[in-house]
Amino acid sequence: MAAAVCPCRALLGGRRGLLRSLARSARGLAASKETHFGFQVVSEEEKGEKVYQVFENVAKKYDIMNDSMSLGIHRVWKDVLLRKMNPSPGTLLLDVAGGTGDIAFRFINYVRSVRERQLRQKLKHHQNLSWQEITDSYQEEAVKPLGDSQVVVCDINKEMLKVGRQKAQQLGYSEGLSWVVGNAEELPFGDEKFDVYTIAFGIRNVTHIDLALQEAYRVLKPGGRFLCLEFSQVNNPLLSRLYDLYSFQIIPVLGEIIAGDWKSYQYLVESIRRFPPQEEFKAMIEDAGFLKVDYQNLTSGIVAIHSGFKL
Amino acid sequence: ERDGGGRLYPGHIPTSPLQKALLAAGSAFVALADPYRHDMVAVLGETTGCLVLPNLRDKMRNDPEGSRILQERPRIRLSTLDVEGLRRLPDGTLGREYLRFLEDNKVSPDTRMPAKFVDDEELAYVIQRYREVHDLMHTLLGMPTNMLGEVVVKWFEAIQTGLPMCVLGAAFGPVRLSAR
Repeated sequence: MAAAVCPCRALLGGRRGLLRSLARSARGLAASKETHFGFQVVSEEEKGEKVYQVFENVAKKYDIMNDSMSLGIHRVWKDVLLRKMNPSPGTLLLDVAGGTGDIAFRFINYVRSVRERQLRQKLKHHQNLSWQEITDSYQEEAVKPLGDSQVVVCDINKEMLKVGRQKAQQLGYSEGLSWVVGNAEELPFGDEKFDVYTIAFGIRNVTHIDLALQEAYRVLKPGGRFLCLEFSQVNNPLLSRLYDLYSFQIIPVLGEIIAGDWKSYQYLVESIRRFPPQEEFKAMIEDAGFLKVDYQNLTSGIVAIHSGFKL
Repeated sequence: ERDGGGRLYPGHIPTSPLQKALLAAGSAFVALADPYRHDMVAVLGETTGCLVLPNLRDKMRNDPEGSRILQERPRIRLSTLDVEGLRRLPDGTLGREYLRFLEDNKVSPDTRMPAKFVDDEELAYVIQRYREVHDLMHTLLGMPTNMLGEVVVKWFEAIQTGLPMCVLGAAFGPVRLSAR
């Protein structure tokens, strides 16, 4: 797959690209293939470093910027993702690029409320309960509020995880939650460990998306589900123009005013345009081995949820 | 000379008129709400200074020392200052008092923000120079770096340079002063 992509990358690199590809073949298979960082052309190592710096810089203001840029709508998108996932108690979730924990906290809330409903239903259907049975069920609720569900938040960026852990402490999340530093292209987990794999607004920052998808396939149990929430292509031409105007004129200004960082948010809006559209990404997910791959557009395609199963 | 992307100098971020207007409004609001956001004061200066900076540059050009500064583009930085030499100067000299000001208030000329939104590289230097001599103004006026001291320096700079950011700072800064 890499061999087929190389000449395309050389052409995309522009006038310098042709010279570079000649130099590259002269050097043999050198390590510095080129890729994009927003609208810039950079080497693959550089992209990883630059992305790391972006998220290191924005970590503390990440949540407030999300609210400002999307006018709070990102919360709805994440709620829809959880609704689609519909996890039952006992689910093991791996949230990659999970940084500040938005998906993880929603998962915990969801399974907790499902669990509570389960216990309540059980009580309702037992008409002649002894006091002992009633006490036992309350014990169960107290001891296993999540019903053995667990979420592992994995992120390559230590600053983002730091913010996430602080948030967890402030909001009172402790059980069923763990934080791991890791690279989506090379996850520090064994094969077939998780029931669900999510990656929300993270995969477009990965240098080799195909590797991340392969890793997702590897760590999922058979029957496991892959879910990706990511910015995508807007299908409505009028909205697309307004969206572009908003993205390029307003968002970097917000970044400068709120976070004191224009460039990181300029990268963000550029990287959205570099990410493959819905159908192309669907094909990439299928290439990794997932079946029943489908996507759902939210807000006219500003965001899409892609889903696939390991069967 | 521009590199790819229309950048006129290192650190330059080209902006549309709409973006400049939004930056000016946003930075004014944040600078007043949170005076510790020095970067917002800097952005306000750059986005509102477009009419005044050419005047400052012309004044410099018409003065022999000023035009020499425009040509040689000296930068005031700890690495370019002869700190020990300044320390040996007699008390009451500008150099000695400047060093005393830096040490007493625990500030350094290296923390001045570089220009980003000025669309002319000579004017970017002019505003950079204004920022770097700011501490010298403090020294001349004998003002510390608290809110009151900064407002006094802003009044002085407003009259000296006519920069809208200084005028705004001088006019609205006192709002943040408590009645003591």
